[in-house]
Amino acid sequence: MQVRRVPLMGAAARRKGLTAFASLAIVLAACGSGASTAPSAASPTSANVTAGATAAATAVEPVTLHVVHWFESGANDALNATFKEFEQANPGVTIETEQVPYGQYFQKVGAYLAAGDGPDMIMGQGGLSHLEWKDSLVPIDSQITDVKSKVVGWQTGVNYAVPFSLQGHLLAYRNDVLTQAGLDPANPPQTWRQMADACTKILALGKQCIATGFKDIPQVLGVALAQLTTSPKDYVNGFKFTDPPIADSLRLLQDMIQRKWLDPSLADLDRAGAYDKFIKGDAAFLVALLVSPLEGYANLTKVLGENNYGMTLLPTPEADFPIPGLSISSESTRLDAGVGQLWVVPKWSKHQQEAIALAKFFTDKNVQFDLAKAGAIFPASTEIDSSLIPSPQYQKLVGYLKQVRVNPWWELRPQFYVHGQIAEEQLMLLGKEDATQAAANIQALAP
Amino acid sequence: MKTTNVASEGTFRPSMRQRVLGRNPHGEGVTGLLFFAPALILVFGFKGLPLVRGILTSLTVKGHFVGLANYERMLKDHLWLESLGNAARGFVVLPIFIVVPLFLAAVLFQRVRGWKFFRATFFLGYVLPAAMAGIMFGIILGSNGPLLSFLRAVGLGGLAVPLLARTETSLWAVYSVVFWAWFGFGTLVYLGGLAAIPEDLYDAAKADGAGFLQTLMHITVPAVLPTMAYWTVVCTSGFLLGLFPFLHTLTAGGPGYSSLLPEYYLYRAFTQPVDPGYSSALGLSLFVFVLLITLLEIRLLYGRAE
Amino acid sequence: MASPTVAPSERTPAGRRAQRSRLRPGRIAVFIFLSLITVAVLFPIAYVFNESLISAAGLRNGTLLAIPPSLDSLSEVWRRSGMPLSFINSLIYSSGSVIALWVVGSMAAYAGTKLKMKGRNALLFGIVLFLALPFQTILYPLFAQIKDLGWVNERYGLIVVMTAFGLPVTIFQFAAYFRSLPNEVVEAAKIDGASALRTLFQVILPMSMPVLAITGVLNAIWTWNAIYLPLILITKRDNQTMVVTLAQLVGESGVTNTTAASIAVLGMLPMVIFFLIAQRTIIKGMASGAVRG
Repeated sequence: MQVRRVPLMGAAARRKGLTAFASLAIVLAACGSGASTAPSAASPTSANVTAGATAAATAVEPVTLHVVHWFESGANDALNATFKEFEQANPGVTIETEQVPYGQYFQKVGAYLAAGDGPDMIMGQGGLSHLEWKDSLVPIDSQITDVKSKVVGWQTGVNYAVPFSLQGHLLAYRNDVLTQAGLDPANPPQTWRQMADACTKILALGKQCIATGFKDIPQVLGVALAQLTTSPKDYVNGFKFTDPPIADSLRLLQDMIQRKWLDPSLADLDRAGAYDKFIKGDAAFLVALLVSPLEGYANLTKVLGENNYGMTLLPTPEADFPIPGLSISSESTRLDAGVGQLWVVPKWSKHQQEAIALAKFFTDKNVQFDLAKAGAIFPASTEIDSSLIPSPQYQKLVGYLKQVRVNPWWELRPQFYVHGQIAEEQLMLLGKEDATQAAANIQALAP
Repeated sequence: MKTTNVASEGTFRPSMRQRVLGRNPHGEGVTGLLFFAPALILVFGFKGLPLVRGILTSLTVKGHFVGLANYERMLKDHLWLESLGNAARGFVVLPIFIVVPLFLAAVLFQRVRGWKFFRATFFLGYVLPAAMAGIMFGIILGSNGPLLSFLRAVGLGGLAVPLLARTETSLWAVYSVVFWAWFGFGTLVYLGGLAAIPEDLYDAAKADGAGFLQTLMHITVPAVLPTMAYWTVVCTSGFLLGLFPFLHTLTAGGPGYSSLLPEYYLYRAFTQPVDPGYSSALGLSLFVFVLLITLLEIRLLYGRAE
Repeated sequence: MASPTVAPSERTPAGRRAQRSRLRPGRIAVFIFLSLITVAVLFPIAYVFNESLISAAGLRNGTLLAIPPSLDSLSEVWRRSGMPLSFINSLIYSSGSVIALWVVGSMAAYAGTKLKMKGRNALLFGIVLFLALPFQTILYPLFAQIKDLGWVNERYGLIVVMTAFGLPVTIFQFAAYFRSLPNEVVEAAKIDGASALRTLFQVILPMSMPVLAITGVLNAIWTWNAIYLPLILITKRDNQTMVVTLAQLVGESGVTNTTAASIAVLGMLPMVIFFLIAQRTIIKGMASGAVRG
């Protein structure tokens, strides 16, 4: 019943897997639904498959599910505990995990996709396109009706993935610096105008307004700002960086730079430097990561203390400010959240039903709570009882969930945009380029 | 070295077994081949074969033969050209890499008190993992780091620029870190060269009343020229192919594209959704550069040997 | 090719020491100059070492010195970097490829210098010519080849590739050394009826301690410090090297300068210790090995 970490294609595992495949194939053939006919999900009966039903079906024949993911250390432990729980609830199911570091993860998954063979369940990231993989994935719409209300982050079109965590970026602020600047930490800036006012006061103290590193800008602000200016319908037929909604997000970035919210004379190349600035009180705001292990949050609490900082959303631009005539989508969101992690089931899996059941298991509020408590994820669950959360800051964060609208920006931004964005936004911060040039240069990278 | 015993040639033919076991002093061709075999398999299997494969792949796009299209694309790829331009700019600092270690070696060679300690300490930077040195200097040169804090503290705040975060300085900052890591190696190389200079040359110079600098210019430098040539070649190929760990942890090619070097662009081209043909073409064109340089290296080494 | 004497730099200055060590103002200036360079070399290391020991409270207050020192940050990095497994991996890669390089390299060099075969020089030259082919230039085809062999993520895969790319230099060094050994040694072994293999491993290699030490130490350092090849060929964290695992930590969230400093300190520690132990051999190796190529 323990979660083993074995090389997925190890000889022993493969032999074992084959035996399991063979025996399961017989069972499934008897049931009249071949495991290899891909969208078996479409059959009406399978719509009601739950973890329990799967257990009944597989109690006789043992099933081994291979799962590939990138969670590390504490998050890895929490994930393994969840798998163990699933194994206990579903006798006969054994889960074997393969952990690949994030830096090499997508290359690895790409290899599986190219080979058309590999694990039964794959972790994906909302920010990167699991939709690029969709030809190899099982569509699951008919099977998720019972869990759709449990978590947020579902796709508007065809669903191939079960989202189970959220990620995004907020502004963390230091109470003491805001007080020093004559601002009320209980009422942090909400609008672009208020932020402009706050930053002017903070800059007058000789402090930085928003601590940021060069490597952070595209990952954090670029994406966040795109969320403010775009809506899902902007992406329906593909998009260009020079198109107004996305180009506008670069104009907002330029406004931030011109107002010195971001200070290039102090900007460090990496995140650690910006983090240090905030912790030492040299900057009022920090773009905080609302990402999985909440390490940013946990660290802030550890270093600063729970009551010495706060979290707020990004300021909203208004129709006349900062850029008159800027089109602000009615569907824009101040919380640049997107799906954090999700599970997908590839068509090649011989245990699609079991794998989908396992993916759905992650939408359970108790599973979500345990994973969140362990710091493994920021929960996507709408059912978590936030009063159980001991930290007021964390409670506040969970409260922001209500504002989440998943923006397809993250899903649709291809790799060449990511690299181009990093470089061009760095150049913008240094005043080497303006928003229009940057947008054109990024778009020029498109093959 | 050639000691073939002509007299006994042709008097008997050794058995295969004797040849393989090398008991016969005359023909050891088979034994030799067997001895060479593992090295040949490794070198040709993991260098030769991939090279051929790379050449073939570079002529394709998605498995279709496209002739030299990938190379044409390369010539229009402004990022690739920019990375080559950055590499070319980098060669401006090459003289520093060549001269400073020579000077230090010449000083150490004077047997200053504790010269062995200095020699060892200078060299320490080369032994440490370059990736870790990169992380270390990310902190040292960062805006919270000791360098800028010091400048601000002594009232030179205007000079307190985060060198790694400026397009104008990032490349030079990277080379400075590389210099920190490599100069001790250069010093060691030169010390080896200096030791080979006959002592009487120095004694004669001393008898003529020559000072340190005169001795350096008139005796040391001419005598150490082959070593200098060798070290130049080492640095050159290091500049083109040895900076990856530094770039990876210091700037990742930024800000903008200011410290993007060809080998880092190659890595990027490789880790993005792989475009085998183009990736191979980029690699091979870098290879042509390095090949020319290493031919020079081999020539130098063999030239000295004969 | 030069004589096999290993560290000429050790030899000459010591021999002339008696004549020249008078105390002069110039000499003191030189000593101070060299001391300043030493400080420039050691200061960054000392700085990050201090930084790595700063506590959470120290971080908040912006303390300069880690007094009292705290091991929190170092232990967090230790935990997150999969130690000691990654350390053991690095040990396996380094020792594995050094042993392979010794065996394969000495055999080829021996055949190329001491065995009577036609074309041995051409073969030797052919292999050494591949010095010119760095793996970066064949990144994709090399990876494709390793993938075809099913060696991605396999420990032996990385060892074999590291061996292949270390071979030309190693063979060059072995060959240079073997050339300097008198042929009479080989002839004598033959007269005693020793096979070529026995001659190499029982007669020649025991006489070749200097070149074994040099190639061993140099290749150990190079494989230990490598990040490019492990990044490409190993994607499984359980098999990853220590340096790569640590370098990947830097990009993660919640990393402060103190964390980054701890990463650098932990990553440099094994090499600092290795350097302190094997300093003489390393310096000899670099001085002579470098001159030879």
